[in-house]
Amino acid sequence: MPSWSEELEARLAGLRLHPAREKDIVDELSEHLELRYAELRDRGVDETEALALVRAELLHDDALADFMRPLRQANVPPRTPLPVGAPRARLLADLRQDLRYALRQLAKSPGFTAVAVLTLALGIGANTAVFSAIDAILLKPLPYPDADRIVTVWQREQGGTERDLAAPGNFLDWRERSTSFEALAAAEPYSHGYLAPDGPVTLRSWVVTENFFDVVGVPPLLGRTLRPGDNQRGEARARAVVLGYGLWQRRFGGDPGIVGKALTLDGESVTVVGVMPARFEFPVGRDMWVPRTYEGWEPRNRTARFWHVVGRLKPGVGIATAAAELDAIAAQLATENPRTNPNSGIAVVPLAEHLAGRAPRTLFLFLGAVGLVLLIACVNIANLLLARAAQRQQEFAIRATIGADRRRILKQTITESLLLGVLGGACGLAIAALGLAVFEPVPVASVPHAPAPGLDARAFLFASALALGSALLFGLVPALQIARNAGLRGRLQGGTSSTPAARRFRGALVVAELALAMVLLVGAALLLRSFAAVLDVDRGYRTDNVLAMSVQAWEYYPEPAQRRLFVEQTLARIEELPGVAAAGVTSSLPLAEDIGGDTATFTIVGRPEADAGGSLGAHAAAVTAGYFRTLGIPLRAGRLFAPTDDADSPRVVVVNEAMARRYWPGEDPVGEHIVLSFNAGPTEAEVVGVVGDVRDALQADPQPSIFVPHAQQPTGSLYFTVHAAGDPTTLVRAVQEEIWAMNPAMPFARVTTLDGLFDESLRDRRSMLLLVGAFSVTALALAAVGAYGLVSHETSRRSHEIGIRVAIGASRRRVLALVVGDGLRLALLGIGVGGALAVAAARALQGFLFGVSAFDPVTFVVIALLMLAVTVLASLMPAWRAARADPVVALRL
Amino acid sequence: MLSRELKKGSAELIVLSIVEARPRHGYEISKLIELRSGGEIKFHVASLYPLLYRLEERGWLKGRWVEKPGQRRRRFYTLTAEGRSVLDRQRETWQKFVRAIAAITEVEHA
Repeated sequence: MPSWSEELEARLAGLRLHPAREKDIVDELSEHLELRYAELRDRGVDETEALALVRAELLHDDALADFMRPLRQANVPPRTPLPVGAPRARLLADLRQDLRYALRQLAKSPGFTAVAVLTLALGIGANTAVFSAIDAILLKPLPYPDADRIVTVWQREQGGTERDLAAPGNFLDWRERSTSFEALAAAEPYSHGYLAPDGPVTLRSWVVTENFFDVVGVPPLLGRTLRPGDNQRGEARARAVVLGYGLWQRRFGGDPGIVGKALTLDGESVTVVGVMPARFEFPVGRDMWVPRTYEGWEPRNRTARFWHVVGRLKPGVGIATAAAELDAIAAQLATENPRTNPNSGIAVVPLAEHLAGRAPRTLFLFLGAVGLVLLIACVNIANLLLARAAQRQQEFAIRATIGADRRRILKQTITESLLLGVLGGACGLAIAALGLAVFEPVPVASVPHAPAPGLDARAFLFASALALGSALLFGLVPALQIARNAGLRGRLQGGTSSTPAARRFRGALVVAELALAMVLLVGAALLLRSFAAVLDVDRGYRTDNVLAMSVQAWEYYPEPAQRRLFVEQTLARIEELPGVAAAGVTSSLPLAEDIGGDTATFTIVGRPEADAGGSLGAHAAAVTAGYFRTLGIPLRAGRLFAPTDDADSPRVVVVNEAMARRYWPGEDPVGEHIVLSFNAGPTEAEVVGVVGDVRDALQADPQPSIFVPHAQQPTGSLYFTVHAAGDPTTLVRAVQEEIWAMNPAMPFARVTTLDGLFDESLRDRRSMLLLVGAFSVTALALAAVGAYGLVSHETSRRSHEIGIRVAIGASRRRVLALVVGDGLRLALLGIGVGGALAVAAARALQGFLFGVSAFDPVTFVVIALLMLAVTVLASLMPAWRAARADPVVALRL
Repeated sequence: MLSRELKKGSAELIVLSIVEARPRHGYEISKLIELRSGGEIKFHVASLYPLLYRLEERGWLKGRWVEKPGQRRRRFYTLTAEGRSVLDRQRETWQKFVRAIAAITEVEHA
């Protein structure tokens, strides 16, 4: 005879029974089980089977503890303090039991479980991936001590850019006169030629003022950082250089003895004094840091703006205080130097904010999009649960009858939802990991310093919170409804009933899904139209078959005449190459990185504002006539540069149409004179020609531009542009050979094609479109599933009615229309609500749009039609089923 | 009133009627339910005893241990006065309900 006490005690462990009462129950039930066992044996059931049968009856659905739990005797407060850990053990036993029950319920309907978990995983996964990107880029502090005290400082331009670089003369005055900063330093991006064993390469540096590393506050990995003495150039002393970790590893194999060694940069020997730790890139990633030596005109220059200024605020000094002080200094400087310094103020921007750039807007847009997807997923699951609740009413009714109270049922259904949430969250983390891996090569918002988004503890917490929140969101209403309905009604009416109120609620949920999906679809469609509009923009120059290669020739040809000759002779050699249609040189290329300063100030001779000292701003570049030809920029009036426009002839410039329109409206600028300050002191020059406009930033209108002949302003920062007859990349080697034939040590900083640059400029827009598009298609699919579920549920509920209709002569088409009408009603409501929401949401999208209004009616109508079509399609299947149903079968059911 | 009464109803009604005539122990109750319903209704240990305990907590049943030599002690359940009046009420409601259902279903078949 088996003993049942142990088994029974285990069943009762989760309850708070009085020990004596527990013993009574164990006795009583043991007796029952023994009698039952004996009875089965008497009937000839063999020993093993009898045991199994009795056991199954005892364990049936865990009912014993479930039904005991609401009883008063099962909730006796402990009289004596329990041994430590006991209450927790009981809590765990409770939880274990609820979980077991929930697991069993979910396992019973694998289809429902799979759909719910997958839907949820999709929503949670997308949100977690976007969160980890936001976390990496925006929330985690920069890896510097007291990083919140590090700021960037910008000269503000009158009516122009908010954040312009600083002129050296101004920076030195700011530093001398301000008291808000512990340190204020400047850095200039610079390129050095370095003759590596495998050929000349360009190393990119920051040329920094002596106190630069005081701003940063990060100790070096090896050696030391720069110090004040380093910027004085002694005859006998080699310049110091601090290497970045990446360069140290890449070029010098992480040589631990590198400190003290000499390198040759631009033909000059420099000494490595230190190496910075990995991931230190300040202000943004370049290869190394070189001390600035103050030479020649630089310290006095107030017009050429090319210094990046960073500062460390004194403890307790706020941004506003520092900005106010600098503004006051700028005002003083404007009074002291009226000719060069317009009083347009200074901007102080926290480093973190500056580095993040446009990323926050993009990321929050994504967060909004994936948030909507999750919301739709939750609504969908809530709907599925409600449908299931209707089916399970009988089960709950029985449970209620034999003693489970409402709270108990509520707790169990919520446990089911939480379990779904946990499963969805776990799968969601996997999807997030996958998503981050897949989209890693698509830097949606690449920001310097930011660690690569990854799934760390914070992402895990976020996903858990989402899973929990979602579970409550989608689980609570169905659970409440189940608990409310758990009664006799379900038992008597059979399994598939649902009240009109519940059906209305489910309808409202589907309408909400459709509305949310519409918001996303409208957003995606607007982005798509913007993308098309950007592709359609007349850029004003050709991008196909144009090669661009940048070099910094300053160090190889220190004299202007040398640089002039280098450009002239190199171009002549390149033009000789087979397959080259045209070749030119420019100091500034559309959509490409600024390599040598591309802004100028000017006054127009004979205009009153010129006499008042007010100068105007324009984009500027030093080019050869071949540059216009390689990019196909048309001449509109006057002439291009001629070989006769050389160092000794009168200064000339060519302007673009935007410049002509703005400053000589209705007049011909050819023959006019301007006084131009472009990377040098002011010089008077004659406008000899007008060329077509070029859009640099695709979204903006063309800016006024001034072109000076390279021969008259022989800059060393050059893009060679080559228009090829065919594929321009086949010419790379040949062009390099020609340049190396002129100077074998000349490194190329960048080799690209204009198509490549254009493509790159569309990268963010493309990946945004891709992601929002993917989210919105997911949303539409979820909403369609929701609509399908509701319509087919309604149809099967009404099969009896439909059967009667068919029996009394309704045509198939009539039935079809009846059911599709259900779907149509949902769609129209969803579109109405969604349209209103989309109008509100489109406002947030405005900044990302181009060439299309956020409230573009065509987009709204097309998306509305799409939603209508998808919903009708989703309801066609149940409609078709209903129309084909045999009325006899339907009636019998 | 019908549905509210019935909600708590049938299971309680069954058990109360079984112990109406005389006190019975749990196993006996489960066997009688099975027997009298012709095997249509079965209460297993896991659902029967919680129900008994509930009815006892409500004061409709009274349980009492009876020990006999050579046997395990057994717990017998007796209908209390309150239990009897509940049983009468439930029985009446149930019969009303059955009559109503019969009336409805007859109309349906006509």
